[in-house]
Parts: sequence; C-alpha cells; structure tokens
Amino acid sequence: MQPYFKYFPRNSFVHKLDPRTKLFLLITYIFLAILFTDVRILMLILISAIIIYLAAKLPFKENIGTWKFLVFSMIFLMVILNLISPYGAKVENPHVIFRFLIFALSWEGIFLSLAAVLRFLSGAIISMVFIMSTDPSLFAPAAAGLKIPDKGAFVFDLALRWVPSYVDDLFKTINAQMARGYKIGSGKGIISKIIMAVPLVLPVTMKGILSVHDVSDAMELRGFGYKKCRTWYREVKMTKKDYFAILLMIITVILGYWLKINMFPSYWLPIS
Amino acid sequence: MEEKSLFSVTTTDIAAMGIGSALYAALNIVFNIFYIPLAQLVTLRPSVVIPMFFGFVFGPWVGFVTGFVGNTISDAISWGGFWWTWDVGNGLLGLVCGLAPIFFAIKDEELGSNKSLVISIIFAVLSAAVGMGFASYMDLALGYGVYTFEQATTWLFLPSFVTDAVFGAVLLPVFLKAYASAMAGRARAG
Repeated sequence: MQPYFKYFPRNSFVHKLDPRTKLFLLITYIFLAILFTDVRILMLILISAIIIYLAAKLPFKENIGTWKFLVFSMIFLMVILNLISPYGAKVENPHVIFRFLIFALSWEGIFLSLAAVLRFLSGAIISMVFIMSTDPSLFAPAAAGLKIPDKGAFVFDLALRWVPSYVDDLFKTINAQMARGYKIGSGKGIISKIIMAVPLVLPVTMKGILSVHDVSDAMELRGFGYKKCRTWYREVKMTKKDYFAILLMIITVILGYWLKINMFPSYWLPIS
Repeated sequence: MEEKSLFSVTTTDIAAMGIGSALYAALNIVFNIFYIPLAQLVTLRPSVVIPMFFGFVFGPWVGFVTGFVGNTISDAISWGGFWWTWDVGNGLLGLVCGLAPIFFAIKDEELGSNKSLVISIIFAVLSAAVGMGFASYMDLALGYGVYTFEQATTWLFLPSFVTDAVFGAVLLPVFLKAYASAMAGRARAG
C-alpha cells in the first residue's frame, strides 16, 4: 500500500496529531471557507492553510503534479466562470470594466470568482495535509475511534488492502490484452471507444465480484461479526496537543462566525 | 440463506463493499494514468460502471459505499486530497442503481434477463443524473468555484452527467450479462 499512497513520513507536530484531529481541522476549514465571501478573509484562510502545509514539512517538489493541476485548473476555472455568465456572478448593478459582444468583465465577477477559487484551494490544501501526513494504516482505527461501527471501519481497511492488488491485476490485464493485439485508444466513435474499455475492465471486475462470496465465507469462518467489538493492531490516541488543537479550532470557528455576522457579511471590492 | 432486509448488513455485504471500493479506486487510478492519450472527452472514466454494477447486484448500501469510499481513496492516491461533494455524488450512482432491483423485484437469478438489462440502462442514466446533479448543485449551493445555475450546469453538471450516463448505460448491461453467465456456472446461489 505504501508506494501507492502519497504519504510523506516526517517528524512534525502535524504528523503527531491524531488523525481525528486532522479530520476536524479539515471540517473547520471547509466550514470557515463556506462562511466567507470576502476575499481578504479567504486570503488569510488560504495563507494559514499553506502555513500548516509547510509546518507539516510536506514537499513541493515531489508533489509538483498536484500543485500544477490545482493552480492551472483554478486559473482556467476563473476564466471560464467570467465567460459563461456575463458578469461572472449574478449581482445587481455590477461595476463593469469593459464589454465585448456578449462578454463583460466586472469587478464583482473578478472578485467573486477569486473568492470561489480561494475557497476551493484552502479546502484542497488541508485535505492534502490530512492525507499526506497520516499513515494509511491509521485510517481504519481512526474511523473506529470516531464511533463508526466496526463493520464500517473494517470496510475501509479491506478496501485499502485490496487496492494495490487490483492495480497490479489491471496492469497485468492491460499487458495481456496488448500482447493479443489490443490497442489502447483504438475504436471509432464514442460508443466503440467505450466498448473497447470492456476487455480491460471486465476481467478484473469479474474476478473481484466472484471472489466476494469466497472472502465473506473466509470472514465468517473466522467469526467476523460474532462479537460486537474488535481490536485494531494500530491504535490512535488523543493527547494533550490534540485537545489543545481542537479547542483552538472551536475558538476560531466561533470567532469566524462573529466576524461574519458583524464585520464581513458580504463580498469585498477594492473600489466603491 | 437468511432473509435480507433493506437495512441489515451481512458479511457478504461487507466483503462486497470492501472489494467494490478497492476495484473502483484501482480502476480510477489506472485510468488516470492510462487514458490521457485519448482524453477527447473531459473525464473519460469507464470505471463509473463499478458502483452502479455493485449497487445493482448487492443492493443500494453496497453501491453507495463502493462509490463513496472508492472515490475517496482514488482521489487521495491520485492527487493527495479529496472533495466530499463528489464523493457523495459518486456514492449516489451506486445507491440509485441499487434501488432498481428492489422496485422492480428482480431476483438474483434474473440479473441477466432482458427486463433487467433494460431497467439497468434506465437506472444508469437516472443515477448519473442524481449523483452528478447532487455534486454539481451542492458545489453551487456551497459556492465551491461556481455561483450561478448556468455555471454549475455547463461547467460541472453536463460534462460529468453525459460521460457518466453514456458509460453507465453502455457498460452496465454488458457487465450484468457477463456476471449472470459467470454465476450460472457456479453451484451456489447468492
């Protein structure tokens, strides 16, 4: 599993936090980002997300693909948003900068699309921190620690364990079909292109779905589900740091809510 | 075999959820690498058939978990993060398809019959509409990148709905037929 997952083991305080705390951090960020439309506050949220990313000592270089994807898709999104809707967003009496045929660029359009992009980016960066700083083998115990029923947590464990073997199976199938003259990307028209995916996907899927009954037999023979509770090899534990971090997050959320109500209720423009 | 109610989760369901999620994740990961040369369609994902298929065969909950967990894992592996509205949307693909055999009382032995194949095509399109609709308009409601209905429809909903619906409608009957003939050769039922 390890070579597949983007997990970067480091010695940082973010890595030492409980996975549940990091999940809570993600929820906090998603909530705060939804709350505000003001670009200044969203910029602060994004900068704090990047600081957490840096504090976790996560690399930029090994991860350059994801960052490129994020930045380019965000720039693309901003342009598209301003193109599709005449003013980028529906507002009354927009401050139009210029018009061209049916397209019009307005300050509102620019700043609202910027807000949307910042909101998306901050959530995406924290979800990266969550995934990249957490040992994959801790996900299932953490799910169990969240009082998710053991059966649910076990599904996650089972899925994570199977992924690498199915990836291997798929590559084997692709190579085997190519040895028989299968050409990736051949086929004319959409329907025949879709049908061309069948020889790649079907064998692995059938192998998997037919093994479901064997796996469930094996689990039942070992007494799965006989007892309500189950123990995990790896355990997660909340420490003082976690409680402190959670307290900090709760204070931030309350403060954010207060700011939203009293100081930054709507979007912000550099001109008046 | 014990009587199965809509809300009970059997060991078979657990195994199906685990294997389905792993398959969906693995297919997404591999096609992210492999299908770039023919990416004329924006998101060419033949793998959307997996949650639909597992939902159809094993029931709505298995379908939902397959889509949800599978998409979360593949996102986490492919780009190191995840996005919850689209995870739930992918889960709904499986959930809606899982309702079909319940509404139309399709038994396990009849999965390959003509009636079931026709229903599967309809439900593949329906589930793509529900799942991708949820994800797109949830993004709109929460303001993730889009603000107006037209933006959400043209930029998020239509591309994802059309590709998922076409892939599902073409591949789901093929998979069901193959599964039915594979199961017919095995001695055990269910």
